[in-house]
Amino acid sequence: MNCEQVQQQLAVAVLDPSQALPEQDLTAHLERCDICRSALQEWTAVGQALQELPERPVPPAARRAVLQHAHQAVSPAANSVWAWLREWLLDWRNPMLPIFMGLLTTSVFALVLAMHMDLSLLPPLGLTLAGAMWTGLFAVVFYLFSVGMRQREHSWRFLAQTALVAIGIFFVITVFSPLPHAVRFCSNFSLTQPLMERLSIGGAYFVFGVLYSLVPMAIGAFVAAGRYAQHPVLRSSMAGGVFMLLLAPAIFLQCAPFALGVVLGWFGGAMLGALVGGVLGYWARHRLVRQSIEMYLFL
Amino acid sequence: MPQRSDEQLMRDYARGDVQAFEALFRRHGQKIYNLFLRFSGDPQLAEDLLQECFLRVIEARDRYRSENAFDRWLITIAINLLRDHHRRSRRRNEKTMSEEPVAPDAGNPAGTNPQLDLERRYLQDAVQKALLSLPAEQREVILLSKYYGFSFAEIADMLNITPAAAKQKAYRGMLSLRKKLAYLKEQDT
Ligand SMILES: [Zn+2]
Repeated sequence: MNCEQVQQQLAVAVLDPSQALPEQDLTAHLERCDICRSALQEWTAVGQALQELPERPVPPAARRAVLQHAHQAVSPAANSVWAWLREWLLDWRNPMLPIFMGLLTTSVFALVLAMHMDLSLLPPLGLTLAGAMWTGLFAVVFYLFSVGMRQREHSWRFLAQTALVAIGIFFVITVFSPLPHAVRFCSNFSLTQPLMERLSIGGAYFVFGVLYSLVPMAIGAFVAAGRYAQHPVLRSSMAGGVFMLLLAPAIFLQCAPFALGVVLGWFGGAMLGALVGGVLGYWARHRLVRQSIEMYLFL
Repeated sequence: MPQRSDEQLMRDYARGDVQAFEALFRRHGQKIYNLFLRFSGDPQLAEDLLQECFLRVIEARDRYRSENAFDRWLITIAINLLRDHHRRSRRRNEKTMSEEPVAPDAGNPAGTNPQLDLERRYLQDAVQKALLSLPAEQREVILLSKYYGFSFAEIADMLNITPAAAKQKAYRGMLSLRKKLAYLKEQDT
């Protein structure tokens, strides 16, 4: 038996003891071969080092999630309509889910807009087209999000989640104070009136456009950036672009009665706000995380 | 009451016995979690994959045939998940494996000698990094034989390769480990 064979056998026997050579063959070889004797020592050291890797317990959150799922899968209630619906809504692999979510969000957002303006003034065909386009956009972004969740494509998830959270926040703000109302309010409010007069109406929409997308995008990127840490400026800007796609129908619907300058002002402001907000939120999240780690290490 | 076999537990779970599944998870959850952890060096990823792995078990409960040993079936699912993940992350050309593998800290029961603890953590870190530097298919074979006690014949069966190929991969992997961990031996003596 040559050295090569002996050494191969020594190495694999560290992993699988059933592969060990017969005792007398090995001893005979080792007695006359220094090289294999020192190899044996090294293999033993590697085996011991591998032995050092400890077992970690399963994190409680993962255990809970698995057991809960196991429970739900076989519980009698699993066959009820409600359980079926819940399963359907919570399954990222469900191809109908993004379309459903697109329809749902578009309807909710259309309702929010209808709270403050009379949508029936718009031509029905244009309204229908806008609704269909919006539903499609939302469906695509929800699809992106579902793929990101299920395949751990963190960059896709980041894009979609940032935009969805941001547009959600934009509409929450819109419920209480739609942008045109805010502009009108500031134009009549004695403190801000002089400033507003200096800005043209387009300029006012620009400034508010920045605010109305900077804040939502900053929060959105902050929320979504948790597990994602690459290309901050590029990805945040891309997320801003996705957000702008979702926001555009809302801008056009709300601006329909106004002049072109208003639309352009708002649109440009929103674009700028989305880019700055996205990068800001991302930066804040990672900056904060790094600082809290440093605090933990040094205190 | 005699302990039920894994296969029996799986059959019982398919009939609606949730406690049978809990017993299975108690027996195998930690092993699978540590397989993912050692393979990836990334606790968050290991947690995700662990959940995904057992979700597949749950979904396949009616299709499971007890002629197949449960532990091997489970490992096959786990390996497939790892390969899927590996393929995707390579396609994305991203470094998804932790740059800094977390030194597992659960295994120093005595913890009385801080110097010793530090050395042990350093060693664990070195071993984890050395493992991560191996090609995936060598890492698979080494983890399955060293930590799960499968023979090369069993591993070959699970990975759909010949026993000789499994042995060869193990040997290649061990050679790299020896090279990477050689300094440990010098420190010892
Ligand atoms: Zn020799």
